[in-house]
Amino acid sequence: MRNNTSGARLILFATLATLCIGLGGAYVVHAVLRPGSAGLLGPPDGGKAVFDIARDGQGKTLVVFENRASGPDRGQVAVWDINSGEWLRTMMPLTCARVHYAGGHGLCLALDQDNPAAFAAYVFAPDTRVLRKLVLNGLPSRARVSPDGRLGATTVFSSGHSYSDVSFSTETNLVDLESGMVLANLETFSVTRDGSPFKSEDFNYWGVTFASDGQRIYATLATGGETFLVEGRIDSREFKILRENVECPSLSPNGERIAFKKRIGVESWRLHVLDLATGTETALAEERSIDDQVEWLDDARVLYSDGVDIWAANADGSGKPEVYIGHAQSPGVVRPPVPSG
Amino acid sequence: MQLATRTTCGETVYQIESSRQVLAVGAKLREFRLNRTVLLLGLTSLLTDISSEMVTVVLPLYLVLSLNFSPLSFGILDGLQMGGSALVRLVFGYFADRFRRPKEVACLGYALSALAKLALLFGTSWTAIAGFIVTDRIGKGIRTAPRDAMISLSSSKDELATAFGIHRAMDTAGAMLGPLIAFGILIVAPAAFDAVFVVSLCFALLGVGVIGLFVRHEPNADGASGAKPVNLGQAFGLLRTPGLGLVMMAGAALAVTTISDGFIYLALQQRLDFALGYFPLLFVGTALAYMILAVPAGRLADRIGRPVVFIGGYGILLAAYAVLLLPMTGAFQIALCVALIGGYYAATDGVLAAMASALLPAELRSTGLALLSTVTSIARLVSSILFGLLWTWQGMDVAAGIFMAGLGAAIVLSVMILKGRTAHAK
Repeated sequence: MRNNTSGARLILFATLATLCIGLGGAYVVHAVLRPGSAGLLGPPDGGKAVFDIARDGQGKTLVVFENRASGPDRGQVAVWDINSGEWLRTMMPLTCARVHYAGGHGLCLALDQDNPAAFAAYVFAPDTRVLRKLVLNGLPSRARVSPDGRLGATTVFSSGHSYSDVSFSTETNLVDLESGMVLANLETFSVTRDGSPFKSEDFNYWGVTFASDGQRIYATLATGGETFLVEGRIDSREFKILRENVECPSLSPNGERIAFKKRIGVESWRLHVLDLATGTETALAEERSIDDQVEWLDDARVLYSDGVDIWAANADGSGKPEVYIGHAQSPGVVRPPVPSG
Repeated sequence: MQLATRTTCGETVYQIESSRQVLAVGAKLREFRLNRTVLLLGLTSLLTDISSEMVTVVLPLYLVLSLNFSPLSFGILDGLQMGGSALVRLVFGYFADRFRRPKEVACLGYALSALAKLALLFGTSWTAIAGFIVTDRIGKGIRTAPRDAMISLSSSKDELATAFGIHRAMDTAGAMLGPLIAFGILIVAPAAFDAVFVVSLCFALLGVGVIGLFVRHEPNADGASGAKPVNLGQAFGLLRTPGLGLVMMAGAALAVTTISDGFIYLALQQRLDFALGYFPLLFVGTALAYMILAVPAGRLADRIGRPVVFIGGYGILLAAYAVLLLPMTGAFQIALCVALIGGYYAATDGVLAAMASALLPAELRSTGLALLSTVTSIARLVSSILFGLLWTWQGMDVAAGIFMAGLGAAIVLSVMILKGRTAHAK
């Protein structure tokens, strides 16, 4: 009697094991063989890119963003010509977790092609050729390229080794995109507050934005449970604190205003714009909590992602925000060069 | 047949003694089956840990890619989770005792965690991820206490720590294999997170299969005694179990002054400045030491006394902190620290369960173990919040110094408490 039941159990388990091993094995084989865009990086085998931002986008204002529409090209970098009036997105052979493009260089934070357990930052050319790789020390958070395309900034969560870890630590590096060298970890900059030195063990930086001169930068500094807007210069490696409760600053193209997210509660932010000359803050018409680094479309409008779509809102707080590009994130606006003079 | 009481090294052990040869043979046979239960539960945990660690290790990568999730959001989700899972643990611990069905309750827990993987496979939204994490944790909360109760009830009283050691060693082996399998899949199929989840589901189902089909809950003599089902009054009466409160007090005092591994590894990383990519290796190293030392530590605890080994384990942890504060640097410091932390786990985790099991009445074993793990996990949560705050405000050295002093004091306190218990028991 007992032998019979234990025999039946053995057969049942053998069936379960066969099914499980068969299913798991078959699925892995399927995953290996399927044509995936997930690991895609750069034009295949030196082939020609479908779109060259410099060549095909000459004289146009483009938005380079990450496509989030479900399908095989989810996560791929896409380009949209804002004047074409068509909701046409041109897919580029790059898949990124974060992307930003400006001034002839793009920065793509993606799964490291050589290490499945890590992310890397890839610098790419206007035709999406990958120029170089930079190792990242954590999970990607933000990527920014300076308007002239010479410098980049990457922010990672450096203690995100376990999803149950409550400790929070970021690492933000300035990178020379031409050489691929890390210029500085922002934590090595000296900081002053009201003219006197300011220092603490728990400094964390994120959300860098570059001025058009390629030297001045703004960023978020977090310490002791507060966040500050800092302004500094790359050559002297100095920051000074401008004001409190400013996260993810983004400098307008004319350098006069900074859009940012202001914390109004636990995990809750409201988008604001700060006028640098007068120090006045204006709340944008977006009433939802937004956790993104804003991108300026022009001097009057900003773009941001709510996690699903890219939205546009007026920078003076007027009007109503609207969906600008559906199922997209990480917008980077490429403008035709302003005639000097 | 008579029930005799003997005391070994502070442990009160009840043993059935008999002169009848037949009973001795029976005991031998039973002993064989006990080991079978422990081994099968170990196998279940091994398969389940492969499954859950496969997911844990790739989840941050997956979420950054698919959901634009920040690690901070996890922390909050996790915090909210804690309270709920403690309640689930107590309720199902009691159910296991009330209906005398620890196996079925544990089975339910394993099955829930397996099913949770479906949320990852079929959903990419915030809610799907939250659903996965919540279901997975509830499953873990449900199964742990009844499983440990079965381990203890199927082992003889003087081999409890060894039995837990065997189980923990197998459990940890699974935790080590999981990440290797997950990364193996991602190497052959880049970014194929769905494949990782499918394989994880397969391992989880195999785990459920082992416990559901092969584990027979056949408690030893004192587990089978008592004809009436327990009621809530008796469950609350547990708090009056002689010695249990003291063990819980010692366990909580030690846990609250313990720095979580995550912080220790982070401190090592800051001190030695190695690439964060090597971080997972620290976990693997610790798990390896834990796996190797779990059985010897259990055996030692059964021989020389569980409180000695248990408190000694925290002494080892104190030594690990000391290594952290030493001025020397290099691979040796990392290896030593990792080995000591592994040793600390081996000497404390299963041994505490064994200590409590020896005190708890058989019919309330699951409830009691659930209570103990709730108390210690709350203590750990408090510790991690406190340490995080101290680190933020005062820096790593001050925070570590304060916790070392606190742990030292907790060790002295525990020695006094557990000595007192021995005296009391005598």
